[in-house]
Amino acid sequence: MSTVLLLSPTMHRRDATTGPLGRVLTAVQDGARTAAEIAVAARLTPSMVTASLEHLSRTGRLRVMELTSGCPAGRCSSCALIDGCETQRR
Amino acid sequence: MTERSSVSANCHGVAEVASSANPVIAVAGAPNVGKSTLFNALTGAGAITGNWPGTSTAYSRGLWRVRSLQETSPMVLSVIDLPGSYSLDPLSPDEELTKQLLLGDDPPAVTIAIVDAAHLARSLYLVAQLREHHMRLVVAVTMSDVAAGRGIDIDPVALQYAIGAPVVIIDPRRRSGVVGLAASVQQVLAAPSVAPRKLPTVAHLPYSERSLILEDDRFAWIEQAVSLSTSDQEAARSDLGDRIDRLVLGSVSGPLIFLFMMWLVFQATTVVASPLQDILDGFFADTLTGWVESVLRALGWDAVWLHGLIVAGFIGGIGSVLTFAPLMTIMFILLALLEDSGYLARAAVITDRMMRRLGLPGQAFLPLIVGFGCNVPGIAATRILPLPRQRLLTALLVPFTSCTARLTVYLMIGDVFFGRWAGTVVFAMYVVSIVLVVATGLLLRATLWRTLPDPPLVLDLPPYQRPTLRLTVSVAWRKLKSFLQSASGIIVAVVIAVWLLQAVPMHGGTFGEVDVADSLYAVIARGIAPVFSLAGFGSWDIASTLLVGFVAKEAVISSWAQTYAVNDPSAGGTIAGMSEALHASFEQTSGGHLLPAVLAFLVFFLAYTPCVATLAAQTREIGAKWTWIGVALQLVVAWVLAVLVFQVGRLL
Repeated sequence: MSTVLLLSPTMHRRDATTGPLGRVLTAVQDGARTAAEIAVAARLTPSMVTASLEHLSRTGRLRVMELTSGCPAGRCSSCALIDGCETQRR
Repeated sequence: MTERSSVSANCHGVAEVASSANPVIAVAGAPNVGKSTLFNALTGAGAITGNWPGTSTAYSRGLWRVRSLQETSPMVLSVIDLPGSYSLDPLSPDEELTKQLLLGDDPPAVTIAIVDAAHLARSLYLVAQLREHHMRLVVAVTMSDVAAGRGIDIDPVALQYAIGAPVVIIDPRRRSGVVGLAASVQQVLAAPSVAPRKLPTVAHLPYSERSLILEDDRFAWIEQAVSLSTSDQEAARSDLGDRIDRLVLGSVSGPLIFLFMMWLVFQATTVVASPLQDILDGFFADTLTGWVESVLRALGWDAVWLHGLIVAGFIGGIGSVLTFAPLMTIMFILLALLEDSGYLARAAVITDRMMRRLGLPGQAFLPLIVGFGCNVPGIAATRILPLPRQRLLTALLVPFTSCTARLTVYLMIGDVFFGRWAGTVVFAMYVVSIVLVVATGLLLRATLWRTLPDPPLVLDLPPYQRPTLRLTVSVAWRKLKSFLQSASGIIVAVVIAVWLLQAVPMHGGTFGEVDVADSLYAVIARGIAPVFSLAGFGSWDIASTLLVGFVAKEAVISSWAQTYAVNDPSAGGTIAGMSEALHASFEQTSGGHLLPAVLAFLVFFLAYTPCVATLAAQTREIGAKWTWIGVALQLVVAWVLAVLVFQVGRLL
């Protein structure tokens, strides 16, 4: 149910990476916000975008978070506040 | 790799079944691609499971008897089911073991890489890495039926050409394709290993850059393989969700739909909940109050101060807040429905886009969204922002987000003064809250933070779906419970504090038996009330709630109910009694400009300091100096706006 949010903490050199992964990162840096927008900007199929985002997330280039108001419904592990939270659900 | 006959027993003490002479076939692939199902289909009941020596990583091994292509007797292969792995860049002990077994000193004779046809691009990453090494490789494609259901058709011949290794379509559950797989394995066993795929030269680059270039190259290889071997139906397909998204995320239609949805939620909430609220109000004002009063009389506890504490304080104060429980429940249910349906994620995209257009950092909208639930976690959520300046800017903006505690006051004021337009008034308060966040953000950016980097983000939109009753009820209940739990503790403490202040006589009299207008509470409130005269609500009883609201917004209604119930016990702390008293007070203090004064009060209430808990959170995150600068900013903004609203409103 919860929305997953991906944050990119790092930039990449556009001239060095011109493949799908590089194009996805460029599209994100240029303002594409959803998989559909990235697909258009990077000229990739939705499945290539999904695979690229999953890879970037798995390798730590994108950070996965839960988007919610207040505490997230289920997992605390994805919450931005986990380091300072005193009422974590274990 | 040859069969390790020295590993004589697994963790269950079962003897090894394989001989060292058998060629070893490793089955590799990402988790949940059907790897173990294939392994079971190949090896049958004779397989054994245990830990790889020296590790806690489980693996399975067994024998696969295949019809030999050259000999009459069957060929026996030893099959190892490797731990699931997305890539050869290990992130877990399982993946580390898989890498060691595939690329170590004693590699398998043949590697069968399983790829999921429904997620071909994702599955091929491991294959891309395997093709960078000298090895005998066969690719087995599973889930082709699932892929076909999604309009994805895979051409195995084209895929084989693109990969440079045999490709077999299999269905391990039905054992189809297993014969073809056996033939392919024997063919590659008999042939020399294929030359590895060439990689770009990156040795001179730093590691982080090098790895990204290599990964990008693999994805380019994957893109080529996928485009060569799959039909275009998936890319060309546009389902209902895509068409809805074009409308819901449109640059003009998107914000309009978002505003309409929010208006609908608040309007529906106030209209549907109104009769339920009346029933609860009647229960607290008549049934419970009457019952408690009769018990007090029967016990002989008829002191005025005790009546003030229990009836006016606890029943009146807490009861007046509890009457909003149905309202909150309905609103939480409607918001849960929007969330469960997938709409709220789209609303986040709209918000983010809006903030970026205005030059505000996109990431800042995350703590701000959290702030609409409660400002305290909203302040703490600024930790996700990478730069101290971004955290500071956002922490100063969060108090302008309208939290749930403020909502109860909007609802009550809306109900009392605006009747059937109450929902629209509440909606307007949220719009004002967003405008305040944006305007203050722009002001701060134009003055203190002229250059602020803006790291990008991606929102993963869930597909639209029919909301489920169980999930909706569960989310709504969790939010309601959380609100009532936090509110109840605060309200009880504030009720006692307010009662004590109202019981202290300032112009003679006995403790607990004083007109509230002559109490310490009223004297303190009178000290600040003149400040609000220009805003049209300069009476002590209205100003007193702003003092209480500084401590906690949850306690504002209870303190009002307490004040008016003590003042006029016949009102009994009811919403109806409070409504009349509030009408009279606003009418008198505004000089007859009732609605401009009420609107000015609402704007001030929205914009001034949220609560002491938020101040504590701010002090922790941005320090005392910036916290007090923030408080000053909130008070100035709130007062100026309230005066503007009243002064302009009275002229209209």
